[in-house]
Amino acid sequence: MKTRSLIWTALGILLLVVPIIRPDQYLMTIIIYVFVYAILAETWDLLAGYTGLISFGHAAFFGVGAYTSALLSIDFGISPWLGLVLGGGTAALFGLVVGYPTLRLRGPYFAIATLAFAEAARISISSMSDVTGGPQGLFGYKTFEFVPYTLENYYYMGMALSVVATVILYKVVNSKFGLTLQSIRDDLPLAEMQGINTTRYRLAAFMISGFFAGMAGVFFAVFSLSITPDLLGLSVTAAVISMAMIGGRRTIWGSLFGAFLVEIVTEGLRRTGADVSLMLQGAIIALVILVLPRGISTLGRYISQPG
Amino acid sequence: MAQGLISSVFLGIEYAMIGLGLTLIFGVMRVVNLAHADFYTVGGYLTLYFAYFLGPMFGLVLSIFFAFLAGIVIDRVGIQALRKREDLQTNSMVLTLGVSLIIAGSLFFVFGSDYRQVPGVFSGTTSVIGFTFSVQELFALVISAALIVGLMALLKFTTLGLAIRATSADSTNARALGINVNHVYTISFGVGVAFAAAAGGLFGPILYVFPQGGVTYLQKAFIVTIMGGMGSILGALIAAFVLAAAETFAQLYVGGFSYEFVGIIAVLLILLVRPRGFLGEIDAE
Repeated sequence: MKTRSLIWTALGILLLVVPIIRPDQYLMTIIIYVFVYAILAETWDLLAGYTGLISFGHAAFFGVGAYTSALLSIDFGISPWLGLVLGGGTAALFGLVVGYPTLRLRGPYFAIATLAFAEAARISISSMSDVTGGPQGLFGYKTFEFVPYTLENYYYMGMALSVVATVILYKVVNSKFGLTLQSIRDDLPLAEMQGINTTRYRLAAFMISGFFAGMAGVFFAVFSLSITPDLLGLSVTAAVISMAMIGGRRTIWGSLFGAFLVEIVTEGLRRTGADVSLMLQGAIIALVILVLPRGISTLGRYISQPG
Repeated sequence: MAQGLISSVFLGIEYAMIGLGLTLIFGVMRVVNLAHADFYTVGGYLTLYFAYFLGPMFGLVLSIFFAFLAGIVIDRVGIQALRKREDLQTNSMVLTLGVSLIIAGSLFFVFGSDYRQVPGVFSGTTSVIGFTFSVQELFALVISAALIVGLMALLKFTTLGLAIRATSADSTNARALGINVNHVYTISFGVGVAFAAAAGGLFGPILYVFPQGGVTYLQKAFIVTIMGGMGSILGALIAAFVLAAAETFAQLYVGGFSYEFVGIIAVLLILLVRPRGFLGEIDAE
């Protein structure tokens, strides 16, 4: 326990001083993306790891949050600060709408239904050109007031957002609520027999997951200055799943490492000119599910207790 | 109207080629193959590649054969390992998602991101009952129909087909009766993806291919499989033509993006109202 808090403190200090050392802008940008993706992977883990709901439509939360805030800014001049809450809230509502009918479905049926919902949302956004800019997407919306648009500022903001989300999600999964979710995951009929309203618990997990993923989408939209319907696509979901998987399901914090590893390696290789990011993400997903089903977070245990 | 019907037939047979493979794999193995449509792209690119040396006809045959081999390897190395653990269905979805990215990434790496036209076996056009078709289109239609009939005959009349149907119906009892269930799984996966590859090689000359072009077809294959009842070959065949007709006529008479919605909305309704589809021949659970 002591070494663990030591590692976290060291990591925190390291991340805090990165902008002070002034590395090149590219690295800073990549780490900001890591913060965003870490939130996405953690929220996916809340559903997949703790609630037993393997969603293949996670990118929809991200995109719904991003589009909500961007549209509110363009059409009504609403600040993205408020957009963080409203974007998260809309994504949470989207989670409710998707979750309510799909929770009855089991295994692959649930996974396919979440994928279908995400695709329906992506095509809707793509086809409503008058409102959403269609396939070309949106740009020219507001950036955060009081925080000048510099890499350093957005780095710290992304970090703060990521830390807050991680801490809250960590608390959630270790609370009585989180334990109830896990008991539902392990044995749904048993949980129901004990009088737990499993639908309500799982819907709540859906909404919490959606809220933070949507919030990450709002921050991502402001930081990248433009968004397209691709945000809701399967490739974003695939990246998120690869990060959560390599970090280790059922850990929350593992996702942070997963996001870091996948993002650094893929971007680093892209920089050498060989765009192998897709291949690599695929290889990570396939290898982890085959060889290390519980991710790198359990690697230490494998080493110290072989077998 | 007539033009719409003809388009529906061509689109429908293509959807059937991709959807039947996915249905076979799910029906027999209970595996959801997220990499399925990437084999469509693989089929197109391999035909393109082999055609340089051997001409389009042999290129097509070889690409189908190599897709079949790749399917066998993926099942032996990957899916069979997952079979020993719990929760095969979701784990296999995650695994095949990885395979899908590896395929798309490799094609991107080797061939670049441009749209490529696959060389067709035939060129030129011909006229049948007053309508003009490209000869390649007719060739693709005839070969696809032959392959589909061949698959259905194989399932119905051969010993292998009987073993496949028995495994699909009850794998435990099939094993008890002495059927090598693992062989059946491997063959089903190989045949399933080979059908997708055949579609890529046959229809690629008409519709072009690009590395991530599989995604659209993955949607269609899912829609066909779900509408057909998650495991019913006949159901999937009917669903392919229904979907193609619905899309074609929505595009003709409503326009815009609406046709893309037709299938997705149908799928959501079916999943939510009748999770086993309309013709659930083989029990999907």
